Amino acid sequence: MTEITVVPAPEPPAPLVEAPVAMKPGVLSAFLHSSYQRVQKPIARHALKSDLSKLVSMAKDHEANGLAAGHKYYCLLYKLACEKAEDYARLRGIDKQQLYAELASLEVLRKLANPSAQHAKTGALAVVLGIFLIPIAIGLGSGMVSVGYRWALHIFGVH
Amino acid sequence: MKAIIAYFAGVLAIAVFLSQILVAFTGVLAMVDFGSKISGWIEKKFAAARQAA
Repeated sequence: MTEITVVPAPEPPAPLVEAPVAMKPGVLSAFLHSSYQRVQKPIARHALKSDLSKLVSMAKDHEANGLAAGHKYYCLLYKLACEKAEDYARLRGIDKQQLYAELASLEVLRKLANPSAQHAKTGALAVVLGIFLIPIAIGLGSGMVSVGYRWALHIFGVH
Repeated sequence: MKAIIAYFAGVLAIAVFLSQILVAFTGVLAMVDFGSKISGWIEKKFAAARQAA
């Protein structure tokens, strides 16, 4: 009979160099990180407000110089404002739509960049008003012509 | 069968179209009549002022 010898599996080799203690996030680094976050957000908010204010000011200057709404300059300014707002939203971890709702200056730029929606609304309102007002004006006009005719007959003593 | 359904659908579409035109025309006439009534009201006002004078 042959003897069966059980050989134990070899142990995995121990790491030669242990991870340095300084690599683990310590209290100090966590404090520094949170302090950086606390300082970074107000600075970013201030920078965003300042940038948007400058962009709106530029757009208003163009508007004052008679540049028509929908011009490519407005589109460029609106694109820049959107990029800055999205960067800020990413930093703060908030929804873009929420930020767009909070920033009224973006709406100002959007209206200048895309006036077609506003024009379409005005056009639709004018059409609806025209449908009602034009027939009334025709009736009123014809009635007034009739009144004038009778009045003229009365003046000249014919009627 | 399909031809009959298509025929009736066509007749129905034409009837709806014509009725819509009629409704729109009636509405326009009503608005013209309203404008004419306004002119009648103005005439009455002038007549009353003339009588008073």
